[in-house]
Amino acid sequence: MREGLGWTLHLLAGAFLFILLLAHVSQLHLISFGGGEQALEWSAVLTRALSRPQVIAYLVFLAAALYHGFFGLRNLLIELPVFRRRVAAVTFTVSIIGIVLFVYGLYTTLALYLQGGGA
Amino acid sequence: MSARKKDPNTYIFKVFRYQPGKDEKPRFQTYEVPLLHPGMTVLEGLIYIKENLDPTLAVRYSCRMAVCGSCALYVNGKGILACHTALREFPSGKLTVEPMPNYPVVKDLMTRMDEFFDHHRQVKPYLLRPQDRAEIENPTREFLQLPEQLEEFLQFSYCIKCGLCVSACPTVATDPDFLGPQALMTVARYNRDSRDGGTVYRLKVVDAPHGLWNCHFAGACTEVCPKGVDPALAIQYTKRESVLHALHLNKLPRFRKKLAPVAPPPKPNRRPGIPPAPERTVPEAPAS
Repeated sequence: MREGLGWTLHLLAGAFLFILLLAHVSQLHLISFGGGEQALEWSAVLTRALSRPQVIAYLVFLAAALYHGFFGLRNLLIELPVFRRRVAAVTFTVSIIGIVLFVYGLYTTLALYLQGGGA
Repeated sequence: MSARKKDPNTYIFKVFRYQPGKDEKPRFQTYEVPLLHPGMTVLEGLIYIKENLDPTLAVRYSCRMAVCGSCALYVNGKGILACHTALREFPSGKLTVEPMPNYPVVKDLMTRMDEFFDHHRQVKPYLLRPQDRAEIENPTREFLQLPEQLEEFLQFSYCIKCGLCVSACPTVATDPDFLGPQALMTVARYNRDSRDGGTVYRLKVVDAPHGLWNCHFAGACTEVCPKGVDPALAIQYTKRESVLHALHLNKLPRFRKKLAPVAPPPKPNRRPGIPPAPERTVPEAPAS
C-alpha cells in the first residue's frame, strides 16, 4: 500500500474516532443524552449489544481504533533505528496483530449479538 | 590564546577541528581575528585564519555571495551561510563555529554531501514530460507559462542546495534514511510547475517509507533557510497532492494538472501593423 493512502486512511480514521468517541461518551456518561448509571446497567449493555445499528457502530469503532492505533504504532516503529530497515516486517507483524484483535472483537460482538437473539 | 574578547575590533573564533581517521575525537581551537572592515563576514574571518593563523583549517566556500551554498555551517548553534553573515551580527564577539550536523565530517568544517545530492537526484530535479519525450530530448521551442503559473513554484526555485535545511531537520537526525526537506521541497518545485508532467513518478519516490510522510512538520527547515524558501510549506503541498492521488481526486477537473503547451512556431510577421525594418545603411561585415 502506498504511504499516502495509508496516511489518508489514518487521518480519516482519526476524524471518525473523534465523532464515535463523542457519541460513545455521550451515550454512556451524559445524562442529557440518556447516559448515566442506567446506561451502565447490564440490561442496558445487553440491549445495546443486541441492537443492529449499535453492533455495526461497535465494529466500525473497533476497525477505526485498531487501524488508527496500529498504523500509528507502525510509523513510530519504522523510525526507530532498530526497525528502520525492516519496514515490511514491521508492517506485516503489526497488521497481523491488528487483524487478530479485530477478529477477536468481531467474534465477541457477533457471538453476543447472535446468541442473545439479536439476529 | 585567550578566549576572552579584548577589544571591539577583535573576534574570538572557537572552531571545530576534527579529521576522522586521524584525530581520536573532535576538539575546538580558538583564534583571534581582527575586524578588517565593518562588513567583514564569518567566511572572511575563517579565510583570515587559514591565510594568517592556521593553514590546516579546512573550510569549503566558492562564490562568496550566497549563491553557491558551499559555506553553510553553524555559528553559535545557528545554521548560516558564512559568506552572508557579518561578524557584527555577533555583538559578544565570540563565535563557536561548527560543521553542519546530520552530515558526516570530512575535515573540520567540511561535511560530506553525497547522500544529500543522492536524495536530490532521486526525485529527478528537472522537467519530466513522458508524453512529450521528443520535445524534451530535442527541444524546438519553449513551453508557455503564465506569470501566475510561475508564482506557484517560484520561491522553491530559489533553493541553492546549501543543505542547511537537512542539517536542522530533527527527523533526519533520528532517521538518516529520511529523504529530507530539500529533496521533498524539490518535488513540490517541479510538481507545481505547469511545464512538468512527472508528478506520478515523483510521488512514487516520496510516497514511501522514510519519505514524505515522515515529516513531522517541525518547521526547522524553513527557520534556517538562508534564501527564505519554505520547505515545510512545500512538503505540505506534496502531502496534499499525495492524498489527492490516493483518493483518485486528482482526476477531478479542479485538481487536474494542465500541462503547459509548447509555444507555437514563430510567424513571419508576428505583429501586424509594424512596418518592416529599413534597409541596412552600413554594409554587413564579412564573415571572418
